[in-house]
Amino acid sequence: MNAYNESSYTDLIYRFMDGDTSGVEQNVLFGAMAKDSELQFEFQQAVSIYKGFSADKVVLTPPASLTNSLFVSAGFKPPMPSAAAAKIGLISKFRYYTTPVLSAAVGALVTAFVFLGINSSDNTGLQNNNSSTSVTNHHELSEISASVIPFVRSSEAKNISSSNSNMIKNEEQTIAPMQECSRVFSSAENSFSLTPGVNFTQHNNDYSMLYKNDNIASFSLPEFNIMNLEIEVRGMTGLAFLPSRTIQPEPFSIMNNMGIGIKYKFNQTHSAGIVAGKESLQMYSFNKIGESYQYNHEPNLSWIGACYRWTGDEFYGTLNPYTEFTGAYSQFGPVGKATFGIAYNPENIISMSLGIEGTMLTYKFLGDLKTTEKISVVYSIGLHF
Amino acid sequence: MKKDLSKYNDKQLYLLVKTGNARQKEEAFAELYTRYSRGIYAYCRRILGSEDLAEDIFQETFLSFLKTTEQEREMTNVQAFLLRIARNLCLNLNRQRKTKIFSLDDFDFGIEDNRLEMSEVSKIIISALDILPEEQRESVILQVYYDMTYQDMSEFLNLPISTVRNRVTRGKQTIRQVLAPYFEKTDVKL
Repeated sequence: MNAYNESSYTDLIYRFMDGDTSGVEQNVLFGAMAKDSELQFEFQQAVSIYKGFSADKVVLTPPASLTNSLFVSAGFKPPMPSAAAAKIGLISKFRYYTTPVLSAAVGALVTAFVFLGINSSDNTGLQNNNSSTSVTNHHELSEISASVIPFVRSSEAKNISSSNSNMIKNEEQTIAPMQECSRVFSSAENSFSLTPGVNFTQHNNDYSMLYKNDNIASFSLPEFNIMNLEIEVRGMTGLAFLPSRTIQPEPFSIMNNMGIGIKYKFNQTHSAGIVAGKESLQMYSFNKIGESYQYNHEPNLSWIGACYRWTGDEFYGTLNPYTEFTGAYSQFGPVGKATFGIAYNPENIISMSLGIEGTMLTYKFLGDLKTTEKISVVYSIGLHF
Repeated sequence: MKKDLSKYNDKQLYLLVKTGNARQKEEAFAELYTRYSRGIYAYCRRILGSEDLAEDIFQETFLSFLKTTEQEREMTNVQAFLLRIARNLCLNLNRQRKTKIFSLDDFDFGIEDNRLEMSEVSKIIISALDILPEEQRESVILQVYYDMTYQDMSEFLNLPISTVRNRVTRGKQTIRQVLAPYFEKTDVKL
């Protein structure tokens, strides 16, 4: 007597798919299927359902963001999500360095332009001075002297040079520009007679004062640092983050990892001022869109504060060691910075520096006070007024 | 040196979460998470339907689990314990929200192509799950997504094995009925 009806065979199919049938039941099932095409079709459908479930099961994994969020909420370090790891590719790494490289390039260009501009204006001044003063009159002078007085020291006259502010003056001939004249060329009058009855007047130009005038012989740069102020633009590139987390690179953000400051120089050693910047630090955050907690880069951390810089004595010419301390406030909490580095001061108006900086941010997250730290390379260009 | 916790059984891991230092606690929790997160997540997703709700409940399940480690209790079956937390949370949530009741008429996917991809079959199956009676749906989900045997389900749901088996079979048969029109007019790529 057959103990199985149609419903029982259906049950057997699903139990077989679940691995819940005995050897005897399997024999019964396959025996029935061999004779019944409907049962075969039903079996085929059951296999399809089984495969459909399996396919669905494979894709049902907790997203990396959910895992991270859970671990952070539990107070643990988020595990490295494989999806995030895959995104940290070569292109992302390049993009990570785009901002600092660009800011460094812009800094270098600004430096070059300012430096060339200063030199260019100096040379122009020098040329103007030379052109206007290149003893336009010395030929005339020597001609006059030579024709009138054979003893005139024409060779000396040729060496005379003066600036716009100078003039050559003697009793009989005055060399323009008279109006601007403040000094310099004096002449002594020596009279002597070569032929009885005929008096010659020798104009013995004394140009020795030319060499006493600094304005004539040297072309010093204009005096900067009148106000003892320095405006500094800096770039900051994160080298290491603490606590150590492997997370995705920060999103690209214009003007990120940059700062600007204005400092007053009390003297060569001490200066202090106001600084502001925008940079990324790794920190816990709450994502309102996904309503999840994450540990990630905060690329728009803006801060403003005060700084003090100590500058050491020069070494190797124009290099100065320096150390700087900054206390600032950001939208997330207080920020502290300590920087050590070397400043290069090729001109009075401009300086460049390179250093290592440690940054610490203290912020509140889920009622707890947390800190995040970063070690960066800082590079800056400063203009002095 | 970091221990290989994959060799530890659930009870040992639970004990580490409960009594270990901060590092041991974190590592043991991570190991338990690795073992059971997929099952719990799949269960939440298919029971609740909504991805957002499932993620909330999933997170709450593991956080509640952690809280229990602060209490004095004997842990006998971590897997079942986690699932029980998730189940209670899902049931509470389902009671609170008004669940749409589907009927067989709701299922017309308008499939014109006569070749049905497995991903499409999956979608239909998932949708068909929604029309199952609650007890059948849960039994199917526990069996399919949480890899529970009938014996496990019997213990977990505190029901006779025959009842559990019957629910699973009836549930799958209903799914087959939902899929029948598509099976008839299409070829399924197996």
